[in-house]
Parts: sequence; structure tokens; C-alpha cells
Amino acid sequence: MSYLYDTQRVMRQKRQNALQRGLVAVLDVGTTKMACMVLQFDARNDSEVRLSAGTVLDHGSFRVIGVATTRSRGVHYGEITAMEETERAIRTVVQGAQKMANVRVDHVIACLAGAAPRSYGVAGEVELENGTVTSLDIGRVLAACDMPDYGAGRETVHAMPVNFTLDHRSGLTDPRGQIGSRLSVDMHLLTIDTQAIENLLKCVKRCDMELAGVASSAYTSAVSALVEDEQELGAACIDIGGGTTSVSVFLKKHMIYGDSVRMGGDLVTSDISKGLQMSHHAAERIKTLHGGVIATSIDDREMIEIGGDTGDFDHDRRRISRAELIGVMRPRLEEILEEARMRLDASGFDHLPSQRIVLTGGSSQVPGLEGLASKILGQNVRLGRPMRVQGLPQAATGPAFASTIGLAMHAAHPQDECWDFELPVERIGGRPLKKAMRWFKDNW
Amino acid sequence: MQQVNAPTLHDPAPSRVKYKLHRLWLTPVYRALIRTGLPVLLVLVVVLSWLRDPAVQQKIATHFDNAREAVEQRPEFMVKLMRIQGASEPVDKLVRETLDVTFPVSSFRLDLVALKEAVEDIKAVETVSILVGAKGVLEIGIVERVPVLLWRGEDGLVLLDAQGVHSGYLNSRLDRADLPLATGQGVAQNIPEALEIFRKLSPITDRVRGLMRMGERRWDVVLDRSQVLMLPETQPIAALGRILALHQAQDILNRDIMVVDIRDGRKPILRLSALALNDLKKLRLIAAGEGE
Repeated sequence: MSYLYDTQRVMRQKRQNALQRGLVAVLDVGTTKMACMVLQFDARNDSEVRLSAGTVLDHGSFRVIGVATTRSRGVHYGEITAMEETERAIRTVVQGAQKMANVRVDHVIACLAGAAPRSYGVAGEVELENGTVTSLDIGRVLAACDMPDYGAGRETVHAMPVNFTLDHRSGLTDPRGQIGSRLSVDMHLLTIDTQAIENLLKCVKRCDMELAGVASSAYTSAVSALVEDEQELGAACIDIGGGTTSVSVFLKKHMIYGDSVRMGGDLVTSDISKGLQMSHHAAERIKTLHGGVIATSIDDREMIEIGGDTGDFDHDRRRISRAELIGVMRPRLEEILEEARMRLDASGFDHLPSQRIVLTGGSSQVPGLEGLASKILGQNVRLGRPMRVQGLPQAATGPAFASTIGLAMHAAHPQDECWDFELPVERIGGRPLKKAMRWFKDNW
Repeated sequence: MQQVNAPTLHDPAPSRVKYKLHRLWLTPVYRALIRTGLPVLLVLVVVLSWLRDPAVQQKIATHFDNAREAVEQRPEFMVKLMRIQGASEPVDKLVRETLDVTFPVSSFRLDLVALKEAVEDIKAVETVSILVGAKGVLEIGIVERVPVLLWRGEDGLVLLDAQGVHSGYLNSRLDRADLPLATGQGVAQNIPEALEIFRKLSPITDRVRGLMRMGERRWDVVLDRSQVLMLPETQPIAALGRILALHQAQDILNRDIMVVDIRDGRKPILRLSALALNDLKKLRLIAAGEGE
């Protein structure tokens, strides 16, 4: 906990510096596409910790001044598998965004789709020392949470206090200043593989930039795709991306569950490629242009040219009906949605008051997916597009950019995390020099 | 028809060097340096290397001189003649001799300050104003020193004005017979007092030869027949008045008296000539009945 607290704290400091300078880049490392946005912030001095989640709509204080996307390379299932390739892709996308923004950015906040996110609910409880809740008490109660044994190769990316209970009153978002004797907290912890973060860190560093924060794309896509009411009343966001499908559940404006399924649109493409015997490139094109999940009678008559460059006339001039294409795509998409359903069931989504499910991500654009999803996930399904942010070009407003835009919004208005609070001194580490430094820092 | 060789796939990623250069280019400092500093440096280097050639320097200097000459020699700036105002004939002549200016001359070449100093160095000139007036005339306005006293020193007759400044030399006393004459050390510092004494002497002005400063502290008035009026250091005017009153009452200065000594300021002591003294003695003897 202490090590993690320190590293996250360092990243938080970098983020603060970047916001102070008014310039930060967000980088979405996806399986099929990599997107980078350069954000320009209004000059502001906003370092205080807000316990309330803040209104999601309040994101007018930043402006997107540069956007670039590129085909992702070296990333599989949302994890970096080839460093060199990924570094090239990051270089491409960062240079493009910088070129558009005409500024140089040094700090980047990244989000990862894969790396096996696992979510934990933890609770902590302390006796208040002087009857009134102070910031330090919140630090203490967060430090008092009993950490689950999430394993050695895991790292916490999100640790958000979701709910405070003061004596018998629950559902407090900001207990500071209130009077009571026992303070307890429910915290949501999201861990991912350490290696994934380290690889990303290395790639970003090799691009001469500093990583100023890491987020899970399960969280960020929900931030941008869920509207405020949905976040408040409870909703699940399913971001069907290229390589992974991120699932997250929100309640009372806090993420209470996050997970990812290692399946996505790429699998659909490879199914088409294998099943209908065409190149991956052609399969991707046909999926995008003619894909669907609900076949009607006219689809039997609609023939699609496959194309090809093998030189074999019969092979290159093949035509398939759209119904065939749908027949290949539908089972895979059903499988993905069923897998997501299983994750939601495991999370206890059934018990939430609102059963709203929002589908977003690039693969959610398949026509008719909404109808298919409502059969699998429940009636209350809608397709979500990310919120509009200032300065975003039209080309980057589609559902494929949900997690990128969510990351930008997260960068502008981060929810409080555990490391935003000062932990009590005994948890920080016993080195006297460090204590002295802390004392100096606090007093000057 | 299929292409024989597939198009080589171009890697869209910028190379590491290209990426770093792009980032450097986006850094404001480097950007300013490259966009402004480098061209300026380049131009400077070219210009300086060109200027280092002595022939070029010579050419530039010549060009500059020619341009300067052309402007200076324009008729608007030419001074054709000199007009001296407020100077008498000899001073006018002296000034023209002093100012060795050959006309016509460009007004840029005239050093008016130096000219002014040169004219002011002439003793007979008190103040001078020099300016280049309209139509190329050098206007010289002169206020001459007015001599009020002649002073006979070791090197001849000197004209002194009211401030005690030498304003010229005379060869002969007769050139300025109208000016009073003084001699002795320290006359120049006491001109006002000397003039006052001369004013006081106006009743007997035809008899006055001059004033003599004795020991740099007091005056002697020298009359004809070598009569001397020895005046005190303090209040010489009042003492002189007393003598003149005595002269008016008893006509003493027309008698055979060598010296009227009033140095103590209160009572005059008369010194008779030897002849007069003998006569006086004789008369006294006669009066005493002892004469022949």
C-alpha cells in the first residue's frame, strides 16, 4: 500500500504540474487504434480535494487542441506485446496530435483496456479522535482499509472511496466537518497487471514523455458514455472495443465494479476472415461496411463482393450474401455479450435499482446490435456515444472514442482517489529523514 | 490486372530522430532561435565578412564623405560673408584678423563655439554673440569693453574698464587724454574707488596729473607742480573733501606746498617746499624782530 501510495502520489504531482502548465496529453492505447488528444486547460489553481464526484457535465474548462489516431501496433487484448512496435505507434499518434496542436506536450495520461482488471470492494473503520471528521481522519480511515491479497504482480490503478458511513448514517459523500464517533468507508479498488503498466511506462518514456497518470478504460469509457443520471442511479457500461470488452458498473457517480473480457471486434473480423476465407483486411472492410446481427429476407439477396488479389479469378470474384456475413458475425457478438453478462452477474448488477446498460466502443456500431443486446442483457439497453467536449473534431466523436474522451474528462475532473488524501504518518514509512522532509513541506 | 510487385508498405511512424526534432521544433525557445536567430546570424555573417574587405571599407568611407560633402556644399548651408555689429573700427579690424575664415564656407564647417571663444579672447571685447543668420551671413554681435582708466605699469600704458580688466594698450598718453591716469600696484582691483576720487577732484581737474596707489593700500593724488595729496586707507573720499574744503577756504593748493598729508584722516599736515620753508622762517624771524 505504501509503495503504491507513493508512486501514485508522484504521478498525481506530475498531473498537477501538467494542469498547472495547462497542457496535457491523453493517450488511449487500444488494440485496434491508438488515439491521442492534446488538452489545453484554462489557467486555474485547483489543487484542493473534492470528495463529491462533481458534475460530469462540468467539463468546459478544457479544450481539445490536437487529436490524432493511428492503427495500433504491438498491442493485443489491450496489453503491450511488442514494445518497439507500440513505441512507434505512440510516436506516430503523439506527433500527429502535437502537430495539430502546434505545441509540445511532456505529460501524458494513459488508459489501458486490458491487463486483466480486477475489482475489489474494501472497507475500513476508525474511531474519530475529536468528534469531528477532518481531512486527516479520512486519510486514516482510507489507510485502515484491509487490503485484499491481490497478488504480487498486480498494481492498483483506481482506489476510490465510494461511500462513507458516520456512526449509523450511510451514504455520505463528504463527511468532513460532520460530528460523529466512528467513521467507516467503502472503497473500490481496481487492480491490473503491473507488467502492463510498466511496459506502458517504458514506451511512454522512450517517447520522451512522462506518464502522469494511468486509468482503466473500463472506467474512462463509462465516464464519457454514461449520462449523469445513469451514473447516479446505477448503470453498466459495456465498451466493446477491438481486442477487449470493458465492463464497468456505476452507482452514485462512483465506479463500483470494473472488469474486462478478452474478446472484441477483432475476433469478429478474424471469424469472418476464417469462415468466409478472405484476407483480414477485406474481412475488416466488409464487417465495417456490410456487417449486421439481425438477418432479414432481403439480406439473402444482397450480394457482397469479397475482392482479393490472389490472381485466381474465381477466388477473387467470389460473392457472399449479407445473410452469410451476419451468420458469421452474430454468434461471436452474442458470445461477447454473454460473456459481459456473466461479468455483470458476477458483480451483482442485478441488485442495483436501475438496470440500465449502455453499449459503447467501436464494435457497438454494428447495426442491430442494440436489439441483440436487449435479448441478452435485458430490455434497458441503449447505445452510448461519448459526451461532446470542446474542440473535438467530428471524426473523433464516435463511440470508438468513448474511452479517450472519458480519459480527457477524467484528466480534467479527476474523482478523488485514495492517494489524494494525506495518509497518517505511520503508514508512510518510518524513515526519519523522510518524516523531517514531510514536516518541512507541511510547515513551509 | 494485378500489380507485379506489391507497393512497399510505408511505415507511418516517424523515426526516433524525426520525432525528437519535431518536438524540438515545437519548443518555443528553439523555434524562435531557428526562425529568427539563425537567419539573423546568417545575414550578420555575410554582411560582416563583406565589410571586412578594406576595399569595401574604403568605398563606403568615400561614398559617405561624398554624400556629406554634397549636403554641406548646398547653397542653403553656405556662409558668404561676415557682419560685425557694435564694434569700433580698430576692434572690427582686430576681429576680422582673429577670425581666419575664408568665405564662402559651409556652415557645417564653422565651429561657432571656437569662433566665439577666439573673439572673446580679444581684450577689447566684453561679450560676443555669433550666429549664422539668414542668407548665409555670419552675424557677430560685439559689446566692447569701455575703458575708464589708464594705468601706467611696467610695460606701458594699459586701458582698464570698470571691472578692472585690461582692454588694450596705448603707446601714448595723448591718445586718450580724456581718461584719468593711475599707477602703482593694485589699481585694477580698486577701479571704483579711483573713479570716485577722480569725480571728487572735479573742481581742480585741470591740475590733476593722476593717482598713485601706494603700497597696495592707499591713494596719493598727484597734482601739477609735483604736489601730492596723501589720502588715508579708510574713507579717502571724505579726507579728500576736507582738503578741497580747505583749498576753497584758504586756497592752499595754490600755495607753495609740496605735500598735503591727511593719512590719519582727521587733520591735514602740510609740507612746504624748501624755499617756502626758508621764507617762512625768515618771516617768523622778522616777526620776532630778529630779522635784518
